[in-house]
Amino acid sequence: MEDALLQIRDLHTTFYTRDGLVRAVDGVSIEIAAGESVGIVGESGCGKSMTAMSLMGLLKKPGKVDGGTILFNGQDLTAMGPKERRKLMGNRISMIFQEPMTSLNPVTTVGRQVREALLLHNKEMSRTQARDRVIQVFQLVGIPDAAKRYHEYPHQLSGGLRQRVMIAMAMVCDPGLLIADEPTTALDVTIEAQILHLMKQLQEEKGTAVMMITHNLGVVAQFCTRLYVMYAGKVMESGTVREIFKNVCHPYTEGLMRSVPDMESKERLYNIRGMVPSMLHLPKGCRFCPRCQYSMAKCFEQEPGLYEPSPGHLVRCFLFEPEKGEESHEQK
Amino acid sequence: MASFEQAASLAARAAVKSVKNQFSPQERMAAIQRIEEEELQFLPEPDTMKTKLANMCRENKVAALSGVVLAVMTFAIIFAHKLTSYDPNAVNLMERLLPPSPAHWCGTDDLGRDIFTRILYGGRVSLLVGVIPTAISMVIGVLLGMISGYIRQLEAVIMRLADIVLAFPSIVLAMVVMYTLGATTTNIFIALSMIGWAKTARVVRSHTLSLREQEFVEAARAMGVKKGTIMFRHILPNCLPSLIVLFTLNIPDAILSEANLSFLGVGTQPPDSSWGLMVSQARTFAQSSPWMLIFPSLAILIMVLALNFLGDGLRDAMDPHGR
Repeated sequence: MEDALLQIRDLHTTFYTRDGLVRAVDGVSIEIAAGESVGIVGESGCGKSMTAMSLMGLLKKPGKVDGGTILFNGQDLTAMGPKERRKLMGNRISMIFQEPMTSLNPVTTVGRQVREALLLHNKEMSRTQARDRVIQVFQLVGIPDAAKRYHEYPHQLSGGLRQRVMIAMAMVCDPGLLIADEPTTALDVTIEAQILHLMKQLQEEKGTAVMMITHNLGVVAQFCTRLYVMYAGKVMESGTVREIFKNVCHPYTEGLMRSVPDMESKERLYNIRGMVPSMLHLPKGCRFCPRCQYSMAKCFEQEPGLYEPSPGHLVRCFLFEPEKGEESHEQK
Repeated sequence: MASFEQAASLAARAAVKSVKNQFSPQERMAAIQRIEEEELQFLPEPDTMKTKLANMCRENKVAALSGVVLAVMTFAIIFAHKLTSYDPNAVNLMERLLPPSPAHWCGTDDLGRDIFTRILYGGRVSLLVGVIPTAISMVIGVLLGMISGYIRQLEAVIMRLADIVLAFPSIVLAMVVMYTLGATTTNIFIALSMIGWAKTARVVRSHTLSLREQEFVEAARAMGVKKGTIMFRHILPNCLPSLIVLFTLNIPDAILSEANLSFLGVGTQPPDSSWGLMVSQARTFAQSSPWMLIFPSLAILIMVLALNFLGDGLRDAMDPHGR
């Protein structure tokens, strides 16, 4: 894809801990076109959030991006100085965090916080102009009586309203890319539906690309057009949501799909055996093989590459290796 | 039991029905809208500094009273020359060690000087020595504390410096400064500021360390906010409640340190007085003429208590959760 807004190529993020190297993100490539919404799913600790943090330059101390490029509009973020990077952050790329309860400064009114974000990237704007613009955005994200809410402190707002404020803060500069790191995990389902609806609506109106990090496949099905499934720091399967939901290939994705509760079924809910491996002691060969119900001798020996069972649909699993895949299919 | 539930649900349905019959859909919408509009009026108006202070005075009478007491004391200290006819330094050996009387409200000291007058004039030094070095040391402490908490590369340098200051008995350090620079009031400010910052820096650093991990700071960084702005806009306001308390606790400390310095002869020079100096001079007469000790101590006590209560009140008034 040449016209991609964001191109992450072979990104490696490593944490240099005392116990050894933790490759939290291990050769991840993700592409997002302008105006597209892309989902990234996986269990806790599979590197979804670390990908986002590397992208935003928010990695904490022992963590470092040590390989790969992140191209945004053709500019390489990893090669940029902190100053240039700050100009993009919040302005062209912005992020919504998981916890609306703690992501707002408790001693500043919400209006001032959003205004700060706006003034930061629009130096010539006057304070009253900025104020009016913030109130306008508050109305856009569905905050009732925006002018009065402008002067309220975060604790005076409900969780749903706070998440709307966070969205307002992220959208106030009309960014090209919005990273949403589990934006609805802390909210109840009715509010979740409202927030997703709002984000969808904003995305369509403003043409913002969205990178939706979640572990909720329902959210992905509803919101995204393309999907990346991550496991232990690697992309296991990627393709359009339609294709993946119709034709699940990777055993891990299959496990995730079967773990979604179903109202009709009377059976016990399926779960994937075992746990995410410790990132310090990754299994040799395929990372998923100890938990995989189809694993073969080969899986324990070498890492699978990315294979393409259908156009645009990539799978990291030997089951889909062309030709040679056929004979060893029946092996447990 | 079942019949009761049935009756209840019937009643509820009847109520809904009667409402449905009474209102047309348009009327219902209008009613709902009216209720919503009324609700909006109950959103509180934004608080200004003025309304915050007014609220504090209304809700916390002790804090308000403390404010008044401090104002009166400050006023009395500033206009000391108008309030008393005695000269604070005039020796009158005929009237030495007199107990309190209408002529001498707080009695006289061992040189026959009026104690009330000396308290008023001594308050000038004590008030300045209490407030100015505390303010200076807090500004330095806050800056260094925030920097060492937020910029980890500088942490070791700044905190080891603070450790050095705290490792010395503070009075020794202050004496060294006073001996080198000479005993003037300005130098007392310098000496006390040089000692005081380390404690503040430690407190602010520990706050900063916990605040920097909070998500709202991360969110600000994700917005592209610069380090300095994060420190002053996001971290400092969240430290403020502890800083107000620290400020009111540091003032009596500074007053007492000045007293110690004066007692050792490197602080305020006689015949000038300060509250601390008066207390330490009264030590030898504590049994025979207790008023020499009691009244200056009382002045320190009242000022310190008033400052503490006012500080508590201010902290509560500034806390947005308290509304």
